Amino acid sequence: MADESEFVVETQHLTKIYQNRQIALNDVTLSIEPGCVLGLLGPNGAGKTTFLRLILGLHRPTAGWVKVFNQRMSPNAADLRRRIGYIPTNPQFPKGMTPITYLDYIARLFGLPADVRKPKLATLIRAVDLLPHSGDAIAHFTPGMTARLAVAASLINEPDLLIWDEPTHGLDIEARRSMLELIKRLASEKTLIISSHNLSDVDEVCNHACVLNKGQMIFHGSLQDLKGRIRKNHYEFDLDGDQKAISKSVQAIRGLKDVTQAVLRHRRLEVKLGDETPNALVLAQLFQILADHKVTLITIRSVGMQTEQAYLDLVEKEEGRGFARLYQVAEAA
Amino acid sequence: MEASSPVVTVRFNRFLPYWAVFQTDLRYTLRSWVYRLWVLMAGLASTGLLLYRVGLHTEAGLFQSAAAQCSDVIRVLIVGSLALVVVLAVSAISGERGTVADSVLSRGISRYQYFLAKWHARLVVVAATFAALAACVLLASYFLFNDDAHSDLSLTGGAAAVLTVCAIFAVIVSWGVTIGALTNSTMLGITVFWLALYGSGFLLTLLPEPWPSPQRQLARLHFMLQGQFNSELMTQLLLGCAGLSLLAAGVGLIGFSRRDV
Repeated sequence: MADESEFVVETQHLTKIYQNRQIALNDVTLSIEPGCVLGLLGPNGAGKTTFLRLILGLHRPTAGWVKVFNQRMSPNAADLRRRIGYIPTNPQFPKGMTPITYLDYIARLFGLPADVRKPKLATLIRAVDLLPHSGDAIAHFTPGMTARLAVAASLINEPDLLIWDEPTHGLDIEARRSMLELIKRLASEKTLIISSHNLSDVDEVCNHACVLNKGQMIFHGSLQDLKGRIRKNHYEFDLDGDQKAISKSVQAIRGLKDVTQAVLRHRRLEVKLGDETPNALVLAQLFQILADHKVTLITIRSVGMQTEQAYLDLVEKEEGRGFARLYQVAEAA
Repeated sequence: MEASSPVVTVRFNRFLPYWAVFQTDLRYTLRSWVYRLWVLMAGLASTGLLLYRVGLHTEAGLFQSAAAQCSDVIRVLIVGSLALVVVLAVSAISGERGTVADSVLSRGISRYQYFLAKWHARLVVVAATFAALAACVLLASYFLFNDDAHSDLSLTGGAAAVLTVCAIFAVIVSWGVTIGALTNSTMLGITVFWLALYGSGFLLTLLPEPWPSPQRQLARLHFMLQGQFNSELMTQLLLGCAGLSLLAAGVGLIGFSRRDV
């Protein structure tokens, strides 16, 4: 077990109840190690943003505590926040500011002296490709430009911990791709917590996941563990070759013991295996049949995103637990 | 060959976040429509009233002392400014909640620094603006009612009157900022503050001398401008205002550092 001082973020029984009306977060205990890229998952209202705001000290916990870099986070813990870079879901900027004035303002909020902040902000504006717009009012920026500016603002203090709340929200394909590439690059030197609804993004850039549902943490661990919880054994094959040969091979595949379903639609074959079936062996037999019938295999894919499926399974399972949820914490631990 | 990058240890300036928020708030307040409306209305109302009185004085031959003319204008200025000063004070923190406050308070600034910067910025804006407006009125009165001013308006009295009103405005701004920091919306904050302001004004009216009721203080302006004021009472009033402002700041600091944003 890692030593306590190694954790970047540590929470213990973290609970947030808003004005005795809404339980936003319920008894969340987790720890995040350096270098971890944590994907924070959960449906709307699951408590993701509340959790992030508690880590930042923007909210005060109703019960429990948050430690960041082994020190208690509080609304006055400015020293701790100097080591954090944050992007809110929909970043808001003071009216009338330009990227230069805004980044200068943010750098001053971190207490960076002029000889440090001025070169830094110039470098960042260039890096996020806002140089041609560095003198324009932010109010006229597109969502993509706003997102890039928010990224620059979150990096200006060279933080050790990055907390990005839905960083790809509202971005077009190109901007989203750039953002994911940036996250991958940053992941090599910083600890990241990324809240996202987009499971394919989390799948691509994160190595750990935390799933929240209705304020309760229902999973925390590596992404591999999350994926390992399900084995759907559901595949699709795109085939090529003589139609009769394909039909014959499908007949043969249906005859395999562990194949529960094999449906052919034009030249696409959908195959389901038994839940507990070791897939490698059956797939080897299946490939052999295709080869015997001289059928060419064009593509093969696992149906559905594994992370997405695992996430949906987790949420569904949690919903179906009823009062057994009382024992959730013990089981999760 | 790669040049080895020297290890740079960045020394943070702890007061820089305070200055950043202070300067930015000052700049944005001066650009805000509430502030512009306040200055415009105050300027137009004062100019109009002064010119009207000059007209009465010169054309109709109605005589009124310069101090009386000036105190009437300043009284209008105070009463007229009150509504917009309340809006300026309450909106200092509550106006940013849920929008830009996140992007400020998630950086290296403590709640204390943020509150102090906002409080000081609004204090400076309101006090400096009122002092400037009142100084303009005093100067204009001095020149427009020149014959009477020599015998009537006093420089010390004028300074004392402006200082007293600024001190009272400081109390209003301090409690306004505090209430804005402790309420969830600007509208709620303004409503609560107006009720508190009217309530305390009404209570002070019921109290006997030497309690400073708003009516008595406004009525005394005339004499203050002539230089007739009790310096001991005035010191007490200034100290009382300073105490109330500091109390407001203390309540605001503690309350705001315990609240969610």
